[in-house]
Amino acid sequence: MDTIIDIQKLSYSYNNNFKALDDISIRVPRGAVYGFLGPNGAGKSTTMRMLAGIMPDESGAVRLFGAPLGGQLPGIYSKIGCLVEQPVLYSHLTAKDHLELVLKSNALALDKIDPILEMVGLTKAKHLAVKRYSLGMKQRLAIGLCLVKEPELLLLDEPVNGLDPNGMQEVREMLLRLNEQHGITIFISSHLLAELEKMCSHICIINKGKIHFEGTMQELKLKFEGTPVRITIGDYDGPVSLPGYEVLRKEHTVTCHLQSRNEIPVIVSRLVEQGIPVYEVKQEGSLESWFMDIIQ
Amino acid sequence: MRNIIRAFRLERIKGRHTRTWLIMLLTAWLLPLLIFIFTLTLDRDPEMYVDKVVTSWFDQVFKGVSAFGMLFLPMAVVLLTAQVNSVEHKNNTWQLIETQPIPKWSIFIAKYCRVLVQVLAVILLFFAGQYMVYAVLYKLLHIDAKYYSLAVSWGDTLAYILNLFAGAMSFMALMFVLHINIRMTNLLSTCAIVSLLGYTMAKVFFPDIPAWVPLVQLEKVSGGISEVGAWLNYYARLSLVQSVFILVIGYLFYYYRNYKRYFFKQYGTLAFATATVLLGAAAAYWLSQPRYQSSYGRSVLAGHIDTDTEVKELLLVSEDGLPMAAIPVQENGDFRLLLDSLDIPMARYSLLQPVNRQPVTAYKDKPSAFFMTNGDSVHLYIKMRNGFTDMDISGDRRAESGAAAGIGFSNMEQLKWKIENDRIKGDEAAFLEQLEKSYRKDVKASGGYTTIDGYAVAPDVSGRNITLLNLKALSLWELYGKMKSKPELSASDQFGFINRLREALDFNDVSLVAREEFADNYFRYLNRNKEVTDLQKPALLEQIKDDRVRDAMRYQALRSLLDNNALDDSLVLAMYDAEIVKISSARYRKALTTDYASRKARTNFAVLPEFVFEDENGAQQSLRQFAGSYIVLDIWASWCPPCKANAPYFYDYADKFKDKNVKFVAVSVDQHINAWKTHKTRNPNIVNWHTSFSSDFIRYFGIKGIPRYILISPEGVPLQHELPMPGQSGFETVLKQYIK
Repeated sequence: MDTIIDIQKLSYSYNNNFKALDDISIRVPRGAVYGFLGPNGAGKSTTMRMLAGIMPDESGAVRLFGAPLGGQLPGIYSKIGCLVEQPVLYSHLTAKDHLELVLKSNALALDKIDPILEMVGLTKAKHLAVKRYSLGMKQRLAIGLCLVKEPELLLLDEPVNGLDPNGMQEVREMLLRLNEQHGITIFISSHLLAELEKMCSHICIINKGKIHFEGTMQELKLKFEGTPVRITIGDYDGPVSLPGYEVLRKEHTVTCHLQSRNEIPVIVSRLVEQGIPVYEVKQEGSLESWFMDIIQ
Repeated sequence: MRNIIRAFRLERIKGRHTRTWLIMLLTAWLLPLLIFIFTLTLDRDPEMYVDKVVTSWFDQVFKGVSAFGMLFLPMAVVLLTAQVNSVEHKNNTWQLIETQPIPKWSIFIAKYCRVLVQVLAVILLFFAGQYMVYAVLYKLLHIDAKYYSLAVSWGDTLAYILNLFAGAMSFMALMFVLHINIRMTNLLSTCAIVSLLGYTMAKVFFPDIPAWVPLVQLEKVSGGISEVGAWLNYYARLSLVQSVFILVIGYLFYYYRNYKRYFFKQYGTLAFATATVLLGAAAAYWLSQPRYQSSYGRSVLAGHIDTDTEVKELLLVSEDGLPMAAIPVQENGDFRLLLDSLDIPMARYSLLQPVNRQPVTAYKDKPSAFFMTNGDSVHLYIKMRNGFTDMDISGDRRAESGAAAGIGFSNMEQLKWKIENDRIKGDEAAFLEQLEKSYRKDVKASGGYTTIDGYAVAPDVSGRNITLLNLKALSLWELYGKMKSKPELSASDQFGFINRLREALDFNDVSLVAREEFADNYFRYLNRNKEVTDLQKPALLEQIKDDRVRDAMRYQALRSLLDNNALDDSLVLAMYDAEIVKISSARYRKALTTDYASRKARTNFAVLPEFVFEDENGAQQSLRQFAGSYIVLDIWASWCPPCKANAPYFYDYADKFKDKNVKFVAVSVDQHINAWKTHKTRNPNIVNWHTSFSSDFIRYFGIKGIPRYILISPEGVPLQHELPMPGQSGFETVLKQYIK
């Protein structure tokens, strides 16, 4: 499987005091649905912009389709569909005009307009000026504009923002379908883990310009197999030992790794047996909480 | 190229629903109406040179063009540019466009071309609307029905369209670039810095640029006359450099949209700054160069001849009778000639029938000839019956509009009228003054035809009209006389104006020969452009056939002969005696008698040997030049107290005797020239000379001490070797014995 996006040690700073991106490396294999996860201000959009060529990468660290991005502009855009941040559309033009615009700029035939409009559910609104669209409609049109040129790579920055749950579902299914049927590589960014968990084959977690995890979804899941628990105990000077479990004690906090939830009452009773006061038992291990830990 | 076409198609899609065409139509079609209503409120100038009937139609169009060019075209440019660019700004759709497989530069060019095309369309629509609206209005109002025939009016219209378009170009580039980068305040400051730097550089390398260049040029071109042609001419000139300049900057900004980062990157800054400064300097330099206004050279002469005899051909003849072109006449009487390769200087032309050379002229007060110049379209309707001819002129003619605007040719016409009338009065000084005034006005209006001394030559005189040329030449010489150096045209005399002037000079004009410079030039001309000595001159005179001119020239020849100190006196006098009798005019003979008497006196001035003195400028002087006058000499030096004590009295006597036939000469014998120069008097009645104390003069008079005062007779005889001191009463008494 060859690599579509290959970022090697990319750094970027808007000014001297703050590094927006700090030495990040990303590899996206062909055919992947790659989730790019991070809270607001993590550097997602900066990375997106550099991938989309809107912000020039002067170091040459960004390589797309096996060659530096800078040398392939602007021809490479026929192979990439971009949706960066919110949808940018001409408010006085209709959906049809927009599609025509994109098709003409890619020198493609105009017969694809109707299927795409149907795909993104805008057939009825195709003669309406975009200024009358709802945010969801705009979002769908923007996705449609990305898809209409049949790209090999889709760069989507928060594509389901502003969509209702139904719309989210539709878009998700549409993207997965495209990925499966046409083998389109999708690079999708979001600040919602739950969103990405449902559709991505690969995931990358970024915060404050640094990458905290990169790998397949399986690898991520594997990491969080089992149930780590955190137990808050009262004043107790003796050693805490739970045979069969690895125990990590930090003053009043004891962390250990269980095989399943069912073991929690067992270890609690054991601790109580040892005369250790147990104040709180907290299940640690979900992806969500780990993610929350990272971004705090 | 494919990219640009594709980008252009995209621009067309983007332009949907923007109502751009509505704006264009409104600007172009409503304006003629507005302007027409406005012009109805204006007073017509009753003394307008050109026949009202001819211009009433053109007048309106011309005024419309003027208002359009001055006010509404810039407005249209701003609106259209805003329309094209704001679609991207409103929703920040640059991002969408930038992520399409189309190079940025092609989008940039496509956008600019779109504005360009729109502006051109506005101009064309304007002209079409202008003509149509006025045609309808004139038809409705029944004004001069036959003159709105648009037969061949396109020459001038074309020129205007080109001018308007070129003028709009730079403005458009500026607006375009500003719109594209509107959020970058950097652009404005950079533009300001670059133009300042460019200007400063130009100032360093070309110190002749007097002030802020475009303003100077504007002033020069427009000549203080608020006339649209001048404005357009200036703007057209400006636009070529400026639009390239602005577009290049605009493109750089556009391409490197994260300009700040780019600007602070290593060598990029330096290269960019150097390039823009160089461009700025080039622009400034180019603008500082006076250019002759370009001619949009297509002239058309067409019309219809309605005659009872057969006319197969007409001759276009200039005012001095020179045939310019033959015009074939068709069977139905129509004729049409495109004069694109023929230079038609601004002048009066007429049509002749080639067979009997009868002019196709008119009777009564109808015009017999018509003004025409390059780029004009003249339409003539000629009716001939029983030898009587009636001619109507229409068409768009700059010659007429120039006259209507009260500039250019009509000035020359006025001038001609003035000189002819003033000459009768004989008031030459007033005439010259008037001439110079008119000339200066012309110079201002001409915009850039300059001589080395910075004087411009109005382009409207580069024609063949000999009388006008003479006038112009006269005024030129008059001007040059007041300047430091003699006229010499600079290398930019690309149209060979001065050569044409020289060739065409009509030396038979006596009033011109009265001017010494003309006479010199004429002698050179008679001698096949070789230098002429005073002795050769009389022989050359035989070539002149006109008696009055010959008299005037002989007078000039004798005058310079009498002034020629290099020639032997006896030779000069013999020649004079032989020539003076050939002058028939008593006035000239009388004018020469004074010069003759003084030269004659000099021949008798033989008693004293030739002494050499030095004047303030270091030139050698001799007492012989004062032959015919008494001479009082004061021998003094700056270090001699009694000399200086007596000097004020000596100067007083010089003042007192200034109207008498006597010269007061103060001869210093200072060793140091500078001491003499500091202490010599500035009294205009005293001649200041210097000689050495060991000179022949001092020895001749045996002067051992100073001051010494000597009186010499008009014949060069020393009357008094030692006059009393001027401070004593005896000085005046002695002088009065001789000088009556």
